[in-house]
Amino acid sequence: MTLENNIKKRIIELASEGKRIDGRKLEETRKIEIIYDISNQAEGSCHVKLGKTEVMVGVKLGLGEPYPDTPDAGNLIVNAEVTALAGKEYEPGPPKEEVITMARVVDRGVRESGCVDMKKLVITKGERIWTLFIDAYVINDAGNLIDASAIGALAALKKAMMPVYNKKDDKIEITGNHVKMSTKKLPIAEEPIAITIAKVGDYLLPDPTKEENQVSDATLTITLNKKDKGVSLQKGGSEGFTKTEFEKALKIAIKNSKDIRAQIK
Amino acid sequence: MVYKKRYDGRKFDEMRKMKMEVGVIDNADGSAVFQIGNTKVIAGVYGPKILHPQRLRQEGKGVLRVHYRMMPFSVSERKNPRPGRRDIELSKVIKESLESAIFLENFGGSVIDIHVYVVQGDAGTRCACVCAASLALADAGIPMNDLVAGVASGSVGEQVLLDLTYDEEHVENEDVTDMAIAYNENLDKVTLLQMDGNISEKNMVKALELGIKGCNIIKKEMQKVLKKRYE
Amino acid sequence: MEKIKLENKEIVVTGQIMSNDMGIVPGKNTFRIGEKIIAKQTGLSEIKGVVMKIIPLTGTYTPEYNDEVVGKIIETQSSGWQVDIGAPHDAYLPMTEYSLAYIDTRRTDAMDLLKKGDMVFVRVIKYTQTKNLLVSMKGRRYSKLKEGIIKKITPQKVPRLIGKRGSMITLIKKATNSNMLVGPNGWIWLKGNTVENELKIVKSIELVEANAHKQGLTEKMEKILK
Repeated sequence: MTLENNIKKRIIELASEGKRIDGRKLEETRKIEIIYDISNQAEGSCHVKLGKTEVMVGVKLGLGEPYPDTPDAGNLIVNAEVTALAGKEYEPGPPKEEVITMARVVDRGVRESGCVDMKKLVITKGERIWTLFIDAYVINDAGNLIDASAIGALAALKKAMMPVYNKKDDKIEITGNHVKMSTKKLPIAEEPIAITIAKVGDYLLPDPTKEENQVSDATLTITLNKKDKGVSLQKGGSEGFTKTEFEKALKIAIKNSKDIRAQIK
Repeated sequence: MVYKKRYDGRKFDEMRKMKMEVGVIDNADGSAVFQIGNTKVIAGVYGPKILHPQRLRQEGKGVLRVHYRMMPFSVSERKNPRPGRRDIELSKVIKESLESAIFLENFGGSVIDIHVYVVQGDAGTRCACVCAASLALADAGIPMNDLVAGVASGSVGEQVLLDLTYDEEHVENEDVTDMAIAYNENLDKVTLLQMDGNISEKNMVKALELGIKGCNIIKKEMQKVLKKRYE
Repeated sequence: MEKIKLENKEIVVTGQIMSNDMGIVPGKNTFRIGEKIIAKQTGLSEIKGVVMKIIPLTGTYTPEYNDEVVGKIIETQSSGWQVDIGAPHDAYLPMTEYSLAYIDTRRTDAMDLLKKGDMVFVRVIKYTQTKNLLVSMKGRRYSKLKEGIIKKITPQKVPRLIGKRGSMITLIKKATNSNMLVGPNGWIWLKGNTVENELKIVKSIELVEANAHKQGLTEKMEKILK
């Protein structure tokens, strides 16, 4: 038996008794801590700790031109990186498929839920708009990077201020939240929460640790809005879920997303 | 206009307030956050560990690698996350500022990786990275002959000053010189030296002296933080 | 110049000047520049006669001949295995060192004996200047570890986990009814009779990691083992 097999066996054995490998209850989320304003150059920023997983997230707004098919909306760009700080297995370099997928899942949560009122990010219809950048930087990987990044994205967005735009010169006059002259907040309309559930054996474990992530047969990320409506789904891993498992996962996600949302100011 | 009084009220030879902490990244072998004024950087060390592929290994000497990056939201105009020429150059000068401090001869065939990220930038990021990297290396227990400290020095017009802010680097209608310095006190060697500007011979030497003085003050603070971890 | 005085068991940090007396001899983890003796690493000072040295509080594991350590197979090769033992280099376990019993290396597939991810308890039989690191499983004490899991601790904290004459580790083993193997690399193999007890051991190891340099570790340990 390899080390990984032994760990998997233990995770399953514990789950059968309603427990998790880090001592929490079966369907519990780890402790969340959010430190705001980590960069005064950002319009909004935070440092999220989900258990020992840590992510730094910043929101920036830049001037741009609208896409031809959406002349009346701002642009959204979500970028995520698992920095080489995060663990010995990570190397600097272009993001791997796992990380790109993570950025895409966070992106879809924000986009599909209508989290930010993109229509309000238009300066001159068809000509000038704001481009909204969300950058999530994982600095310590202790599992479930997607949910931590999504929490960080929402927290940073909710704190973000609009830069001051000078129409005459067509440039940004004041940026970042350090100059408190900007009093206009970024228009937030929804609060999507991503819940990732790892399937290990027959058990569904929300907010998986790194070990649980490693031995999981499959994962499912369910993003829900304030009304418990689904805004995005993403299945990962080579195994699958039954319909019954999916229904159960959904119930866990609905419950846990409410708890998490309440913790984001 | 003569720059008589600093924007933030500091004395010309005074540095901004510093804040440092070690052991901030759970998975890393060593790590540190270093903040000076509004410049904040985080560093993590992994290693010494085996170097792959084999052709990169050096016999009888460890390899030091440094990666300097800026988080996109660390500057006022969002930085493209892809590393640019500046990131690559700074990685190199930071690495070279530290190499002579580490007993690399103990680690033939291995590599020590240092990753430094700027979280919030307000001038002097490369010097802050040297400090954060030194702290992280010491936190990882990697044998060194000293803690290398770094600070920026320079001049605005004829006035020599220590630890310039972004605003000071952009004083209008004056020649501004920015000198990045790292200093190894035990070796009595300046191990990082870069400068851009327009400055007299006399002031160049004065700026360097001022920088070295600053580095020695920073080093004392670094020693305190490392000691505090075990008290 | 004023003489620098340093007490025994003082916390000394990397690069700190420990002495400027030419009569003092630099010992382990220290070096001399001119008249100064400087600490290479953060640790506790130890002064014995005229020799001054540092006992590091942190750092990587440096293998020594005869070290008994827990490791993990990371690669199977044609006539042996690469083993991670937490050192700056991968160790090599030749098939000829697999056991005391004779193995016909010409007809044995290495994968049939050990494969990637397997845990082993081995002895260091060679570590040279050129970082040639060999380990062996010859001997009754050494084997493949079929059950259990591995937990890691800072190598410098291993003595605290073991305790005086093994008092701490005996305390943990007894309270949890478990098996443990600890080597100087800080890798701990553990196997409890129940998963609960294993979690308890993991907790006790984390306690040592967090409190190794503090007083009252034993009392804290007794509390969490109750």
